[in-house]
Amino acid sequence: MNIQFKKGVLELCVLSLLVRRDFYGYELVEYISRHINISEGTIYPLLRRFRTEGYVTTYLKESQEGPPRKYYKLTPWGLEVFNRLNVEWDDFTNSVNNILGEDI
Amino acid sequence: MERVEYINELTLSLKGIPSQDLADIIEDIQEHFDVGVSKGKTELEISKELGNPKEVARNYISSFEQYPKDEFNQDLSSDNKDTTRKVLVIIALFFFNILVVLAPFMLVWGLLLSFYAMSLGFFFSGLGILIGFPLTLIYTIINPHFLTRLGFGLGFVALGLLCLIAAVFLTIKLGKLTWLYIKWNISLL
Repeated sequence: MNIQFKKGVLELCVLSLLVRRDFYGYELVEYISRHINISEGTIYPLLRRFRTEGYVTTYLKESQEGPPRKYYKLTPWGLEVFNRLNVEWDDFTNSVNNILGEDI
Repeated sequence: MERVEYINELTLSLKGIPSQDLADIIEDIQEHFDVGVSKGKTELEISKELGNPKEVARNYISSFEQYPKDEFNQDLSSDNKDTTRKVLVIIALFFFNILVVLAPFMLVWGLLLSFYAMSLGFFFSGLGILIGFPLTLIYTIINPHFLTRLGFGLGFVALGLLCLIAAVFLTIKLGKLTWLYIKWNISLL
């Protein structure tokens, strides 16, 4: 699958998780890689970009199991971006399904 | 690979990025290893899941050095390098045009202008011969035969017109060349 496309879809997926609740890096990465076959190392740069572009903020939270974890939290702007990407995705998948399903 | 080796490779591949950014990135990866290990994974497993550190580094670099223009963000890339280059190109072109291009350019256009003048000269002198104007002054001295006058007069008029047509044609060609040259100059910017 085209790499740019995959990256775009990955953005949508990560954002959709953060819409529901805050995540820390490791669990986000694990969740995504369970569903999509990608190197986990591609997600951290994505999260970093989310931070620099203002889609998310981060905070540290102590944990019993180990070191403090950096949590990612969606901003209102991030939510806006997610909604737009979501709409784009719906449009796209609908169009593709139309093409696939239509009798020529 | 082991964690230390992974971090080292990643750091190496991220050479050149600001030290604060590098520190942030390494911190994230360290945390990933920490959490993974605390959940029972081995460092080898974790580094395999993360993927090739060079690849990870490439992803970091491409995602934060280049800010692509998408519908949501303005182009945030700094145009500093590009502006400097443009200024240098403008200066270089300026000197090049003055020292090398200007003189031949003016020569050619000047010649073209004189070609126009020449064709007009032919034309009007032909007319003059036909009408006989200047010759009335020296009519008593020279009285060319009617046919001679007609011949030369028409001849010069025709010559003048032909030269004028050629001049216009050349002007168009030269104009196109000049325009192409200007566009080439602009394209370098």
